[in-house]
Amino acid sequence: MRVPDANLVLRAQDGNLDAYAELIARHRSGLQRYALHLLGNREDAEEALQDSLLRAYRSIRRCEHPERFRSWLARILVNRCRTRLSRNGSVVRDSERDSALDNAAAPPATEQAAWGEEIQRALRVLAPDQREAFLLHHVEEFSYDEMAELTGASVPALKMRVSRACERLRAELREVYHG
Amino acid sequence: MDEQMDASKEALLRDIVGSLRAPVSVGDGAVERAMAQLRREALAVRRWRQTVLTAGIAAALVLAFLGARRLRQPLAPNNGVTFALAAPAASRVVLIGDFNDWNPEANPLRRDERHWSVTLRLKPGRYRYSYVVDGSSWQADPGTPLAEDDFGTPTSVITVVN
Repeated sequence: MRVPDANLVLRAQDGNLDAYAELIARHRSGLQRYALHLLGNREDAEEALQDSLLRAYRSIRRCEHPERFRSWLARILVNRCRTRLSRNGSVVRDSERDSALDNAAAPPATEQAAWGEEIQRALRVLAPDQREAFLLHHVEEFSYDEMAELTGASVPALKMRVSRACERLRAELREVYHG
Repeated sequence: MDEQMDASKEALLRDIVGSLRAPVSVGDGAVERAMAQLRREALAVRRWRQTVLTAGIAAALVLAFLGARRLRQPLAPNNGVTFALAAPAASRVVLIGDFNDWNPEANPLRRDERHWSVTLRLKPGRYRYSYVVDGSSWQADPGTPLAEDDFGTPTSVITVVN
């Protein structure tokens, strides 16, 4: 039987590192995906992720709602990614993005890989706050209420960002889409 | 026509999202490094706690030992220390020690029913002393610890504090 996140969080708050490792194993794929797609290059994504995991464990006693651990952890990652973006001027390094995504997407069928690259190009066009909202809502499937909590933005503002992101992505990809 | 366009838009969005939801391998190393660092930190904290615990136990043992010694070695205020001995059969008892240069004439005890006693004002310090009963019998104070004595005679020790 799967132990609920909240129980693992309580154990981690007592210093049980194995419980924390289990929590990370459960949520790592979403964290890795979000960091890579938002930041667009392997180096920044890895640093933001590593930094987030360290910060999260060191401050896990401040996780007041263990049942909402995923959101709490995502908030830390969102903030670390924002810091990285502001430090880098939100410029995505193309060469790194390409090499990262060559290795990242699975499976690398030729047509699929080309489509993946087009999506990454389109994501890069989005404003960072739109990209952030789009990824959190559509890819990581956070509700707008959860997103409001973890981004600090209002629900209407987030809906607007997601909507604009969708429109922009469609506009960017319409020509190359063969679905 | 509008419905067809909406369906096409939805299909495009679905494909975008589907592609973005594919698992990525980027970050595996970051997760491993973070967990390794946290394990190192946890180990360091555990070692530090063990060290502190060991030091605490050692300190507690030392304090307990010192406390026991202090208990065994009575502390007396310097506003008057009363030396007393139960010697009902004695006809004379004197107090000799570091505080009177072991002079048997300096501090004779006065008899009070069954007890002999004398009160002295002493400066803070540690003093060895003894009683001499009837001019020849040296007796240590039964209420205080014995002191080491170079001559093998029964001698007591007392510490006077401020």
